[in-house]
Amino acid sequence: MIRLDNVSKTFYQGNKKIEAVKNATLQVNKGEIFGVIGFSGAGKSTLIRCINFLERPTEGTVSINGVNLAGLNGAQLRATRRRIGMIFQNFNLLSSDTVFDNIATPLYLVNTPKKEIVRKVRELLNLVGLQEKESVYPAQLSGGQKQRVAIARALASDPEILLCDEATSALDPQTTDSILDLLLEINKKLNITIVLITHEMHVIKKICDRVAVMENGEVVEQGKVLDIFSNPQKPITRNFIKSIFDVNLPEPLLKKLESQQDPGKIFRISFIGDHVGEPVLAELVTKFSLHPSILYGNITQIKDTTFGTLIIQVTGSDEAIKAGMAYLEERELRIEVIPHAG
Amino acid sequence: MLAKYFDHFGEFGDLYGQALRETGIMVGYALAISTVIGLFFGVVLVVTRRDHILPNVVVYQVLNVIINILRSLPFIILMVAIIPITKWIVGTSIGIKGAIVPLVVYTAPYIARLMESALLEVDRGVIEAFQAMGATRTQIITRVLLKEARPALILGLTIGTIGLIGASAMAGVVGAGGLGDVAIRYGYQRWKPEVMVTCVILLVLAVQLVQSLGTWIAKRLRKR
Repeated sequence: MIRLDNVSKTFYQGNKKIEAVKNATLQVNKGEIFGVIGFSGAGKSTLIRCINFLERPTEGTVSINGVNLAGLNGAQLRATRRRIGMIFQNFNLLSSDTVFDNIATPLYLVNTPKKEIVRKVRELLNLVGLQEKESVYPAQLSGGQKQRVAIARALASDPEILLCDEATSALDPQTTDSILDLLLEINKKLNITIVLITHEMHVIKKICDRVAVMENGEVVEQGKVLDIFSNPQKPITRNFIKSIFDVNLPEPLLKKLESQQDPGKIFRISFIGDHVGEPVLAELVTKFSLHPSILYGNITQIKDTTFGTLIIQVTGSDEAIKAGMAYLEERELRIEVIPHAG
Repeated sequence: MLAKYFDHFGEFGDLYGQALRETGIMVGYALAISTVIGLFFGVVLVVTRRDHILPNVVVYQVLNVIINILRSLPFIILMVAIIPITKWIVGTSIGIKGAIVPLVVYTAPYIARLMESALLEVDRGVIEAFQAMGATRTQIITRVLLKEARPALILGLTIGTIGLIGASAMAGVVGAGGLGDVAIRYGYQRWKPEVMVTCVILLVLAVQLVQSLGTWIAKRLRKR
């Protein structure tokens, strides 16, 4: 539904050339929640603005439903933008308008009949849970409430796509979760495709289906969130994952293990979805006469799927360990050897 | 002494009435015309900036220079310097009509600058949000720029009006009358301190009134 092909955006600041986005190619499917993660300055803000042409790419093409945006005239582009809602980190509401008028803005812009506006705005107020705040001004609302108003406004023109530019970055963790729940609800109820950018892995983990990781203007890694979590390729991706659960053993512990008489081998085992809860350790004992001991365990929810990590120390004969791990791999668990510290 | 002061109203009461009316007419007309012109060019000065919604370096630079030139002339000099233009526009260079033209030429660029700085305060994020919604440039100007800046625009106009009242005091030079003229001719040249005092009091009151009104309206418009 959204396709970016080799999109680059270069700015000039005086004589300084700034390549905000370099050769980004990605595709967002209808109905999915697609996340772009990166540190500030990675180019994700520019990238998301290329999707509705707030920034015109210097190179490459952006197409929505197969239509190349570069080929549209002013009126056509505006019509396309009305099908793409957008929300922002700083909400960007009109301070001089009430909540009602703010939400109705996209409808005022196309001269929608009054009756239709009232119906639509009431419906949206209901959806975002702000029925009581209709005639209040934004200054009297909390951050979370302002973002709800912004979401309602973005939905007023019945868009197919919702772009979220760091929509939760200005909010506290609790409010962030409630806004993410709302986005998830909108995605499911209204079947709206969502593209969001963030620097928080938590946001990706909670609601995204697929993710692209950006660094220095380039998309360095992309795929299903689950795959990225269970098998990150790039150091930056590992860093982001580490920010929400650290699966590395502390150095002193590793050292201590080594000084044992039989240090054995240390493995990291990742469980995904249905495999969580299988009695694999017991099987290592009974089938292979190994002695696993648990060093670390973590279980987390990645959108709808459970994802678990276990670090175990295994002692036994080398052949038995090999066979045991092969057995686990057959069961579609991901096994990684953690090298000793020395 | 106070009684003696009040006595002079018998002789000069009508003169003050006349002067107030003249000042009122000059300021009123000049303000109305200057506001329209100033607001228009204020908008142009903002939207033609390099990073705004209608970037145009040539228009911006030309306008910028013209406004700076007009703003560098003291009113008394400007008034005399543009006499031929005044004559061409209203057919005369004297009287109230002859004063309104230079007052507009003096005040409109000032108001344009005041409007410009008010409009520049509008949150760029909101403009971006409107672009993302598919708003036209005209809609962005009317629904975002002019609307969000209303309190600041009113405060700017208040400052402009007070400047205009000050300039109108010099209109006596072209025979337009007004409070300033009375103060100079009677208070100074004929050495009547009580007339001078009255003119000063009336001017102070006028400025206080304008400022209070402006502050009050701006406060009512501000929703934060």
